[in-house]
Amino acid sequence: MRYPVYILLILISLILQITIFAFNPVWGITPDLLLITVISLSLLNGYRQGAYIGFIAGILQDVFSSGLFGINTVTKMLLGYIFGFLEKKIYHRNIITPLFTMILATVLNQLLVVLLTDHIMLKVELWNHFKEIIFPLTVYHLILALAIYPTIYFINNKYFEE
Amino acid sequence: MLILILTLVNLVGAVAPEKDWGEGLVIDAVAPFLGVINWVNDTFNDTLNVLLNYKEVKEENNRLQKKVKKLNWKIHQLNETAKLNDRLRELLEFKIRKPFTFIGAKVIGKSADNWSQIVTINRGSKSGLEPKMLVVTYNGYLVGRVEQVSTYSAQVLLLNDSNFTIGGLIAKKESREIGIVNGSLAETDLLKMNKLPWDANVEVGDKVITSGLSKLYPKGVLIGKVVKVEPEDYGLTHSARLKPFVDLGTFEEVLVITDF
Repeated sequence: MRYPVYILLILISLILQITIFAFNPVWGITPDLLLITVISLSLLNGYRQGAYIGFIAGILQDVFSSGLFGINTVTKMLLGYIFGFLEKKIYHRNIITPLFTMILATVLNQLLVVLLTDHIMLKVELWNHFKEIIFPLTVYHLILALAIYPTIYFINNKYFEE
Repeated sequence: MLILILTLVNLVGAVAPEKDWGEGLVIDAVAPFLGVINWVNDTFNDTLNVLLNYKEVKEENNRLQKKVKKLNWKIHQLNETAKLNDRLRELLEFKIRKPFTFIGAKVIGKSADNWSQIVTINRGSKSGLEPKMLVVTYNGYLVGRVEQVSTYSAQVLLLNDSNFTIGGLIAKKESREIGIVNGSLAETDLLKMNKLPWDANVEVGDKVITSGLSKLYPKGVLIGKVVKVEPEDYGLTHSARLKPFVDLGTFEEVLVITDF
């Protein structure tokens, strides 16, 4: 029962991301709801599940974006895996730590995408990109995570906590 | 080991380049939800708009009704002229240019990351869409190219995506120079036209249309306007910056050119 619900959560994030959030961009950028969902789920479930969830979310995101297929799969899986190690180390009821991981995850995700796509690496100046996309994106993600993390925490706690 | 993996990856690309690895299935599964959410979003926005600007909407309605009457009269006149035109053309045995055939579609989704410029439209192979067809707006300005087609929806790669490439032609009497139009990542609202000859007669304000040299794409679809010309490759070629005629962030309905 746990995994169908997680996949449903991922699908909802994807659909919201490419419709409402993409049609009404803030500061000209689309937020990555999938990233927030993946990190939240992996913080609550550990590294192994984090990697699975990241893989599924990433492959879905790749279907709906152009360019190198698989880039989001790799980055999302990696981030789900890395941040899953924090599962036992943080206090889940406190929202501050998850928010900090969200900042770290956003910056890491963007840097990984830049590093793995050579045509971005060669053509775009990193600093410009940082100023125009990564910084506003981080702020945006932070605000969204304030709503998403508690929701996922609530669902996780209410239905799947033994 | 690494070399083996890389070779395998390349082989897969070479053996099955056009294979659909279930992507179409995923897109088709998600597309209905996109449609529903879009509909809710549109209805909500429209209703809110009408409620908030009730007076303006009413005035606009009056104005438009008057305009419709005027335009109806004009259509009637134009029909007469068209008939006359046809008759005269027949007399002159003029070759009639075949018009394009279109399919209308609605944008139901956009790309899932900030690197790519893709939209999902609500028509697919069932309506006769195929990859590589060009997508335009109602005024005939180029928007992009159909990439992935599934049964009931399709993905369109927009002009300003960095993977988009098409042959362009400067539409001017005294110069018909040919170049390659690309999207760019650094400035997503501008396009780049590369490989113009060094002595090309290109100025700011010139219009650029599709060249139609490849037979894959029709000729004469408007792409954009030149806003900047600069030398490239140490003066061997020129490159121009183009501003697309369409605002690529906001359009909602498109036409797909299915035959030309």
